[in-house]
Amino acid sequence: MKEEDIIKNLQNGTNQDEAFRTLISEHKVRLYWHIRNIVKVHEDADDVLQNTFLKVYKNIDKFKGDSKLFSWMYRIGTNESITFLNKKAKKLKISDQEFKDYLIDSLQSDVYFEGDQIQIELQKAIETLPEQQKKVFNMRYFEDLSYEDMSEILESSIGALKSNYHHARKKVEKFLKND
Amino acid sequence: MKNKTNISGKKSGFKIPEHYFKELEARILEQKSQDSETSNISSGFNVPKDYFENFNLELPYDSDEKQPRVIQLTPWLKWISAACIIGFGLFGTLYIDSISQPKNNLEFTDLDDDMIENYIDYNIENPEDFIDLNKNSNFDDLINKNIVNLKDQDILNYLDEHLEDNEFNED
Repeated sequence: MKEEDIIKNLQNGTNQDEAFRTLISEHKVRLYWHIRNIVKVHEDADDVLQNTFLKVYKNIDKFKGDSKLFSWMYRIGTNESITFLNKKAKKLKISDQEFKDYLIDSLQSDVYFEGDQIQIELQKAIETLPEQQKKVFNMRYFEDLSYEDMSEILESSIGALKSNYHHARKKVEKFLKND
Repeated sequence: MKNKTNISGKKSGFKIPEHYFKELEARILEQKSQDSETSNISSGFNVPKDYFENFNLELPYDSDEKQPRVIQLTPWLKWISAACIIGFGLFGTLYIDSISQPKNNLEFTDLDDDMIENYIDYNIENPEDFIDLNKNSNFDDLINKNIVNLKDQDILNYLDEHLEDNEFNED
């Protein structure tokens, strides 16, 4: 099923089940990794992924086709992940820095994390980055997204994104060298 | 143009394994799926076995959604409700007005490096160009450039606000 047909069927209500299943099947892997890089823990990524698909389904009428469908879905996924983390931090009643430390500690006990010490240090370095630089670094370094796609998803200029990535890389390098 | 799917290696003598093209697509698709599932291997993150195969989500049907409950208001309750709404409205307006007044002026030195970096990233199309363009400028040059862009009225307003009468009377 073509992307236009998926959108049309979801918006019109014809073959909705099939269209929704196709949408999930085509985007679940990339969207999962995008979310996982933000929330870190598998169970949380699973919750956020499900919420993201449900939100996409409920708001499909608001999708006007101004951007690619996947960019729109990525945007929803990003916002859902950040909202999820904010809620979690609020629930734990800990400071921003304590919450970042908590995320990294969770990795060390996560059965679905098989990274070595360098990868844990890399995650620590990423957590020191400002929010926008963190998003850009994850999308470029781990998800290998093009600047054009990132520009659509993050609604930012390519020049600004390149600069974000440049600053983020420098900071990550500095963190890893000093650690 | 003729369909060229029947091209064979008869002239060149080249051969291919039996069912090669038939199996090629399946192998490529399998590889693609493996690649995308292991694409995050450098982060160290892993997923449970068959997570993506088993990932499924049922459509939320409208009939399952809870309908909002409508409460009928008696006449006296309507008046109380109206009074409350007006009260809250007035209070809200006054509160917003009070918090919208700037409490103190933020100085450049109060900003941290990340905030400044983010501002430059967000607001300048090509930050490298901005740096190249301005690296030879001194602070006075930048100030002068900005003054050139100010409208006459802005300058008059500034002078009105900041100059005391006695400064005009000095001469």
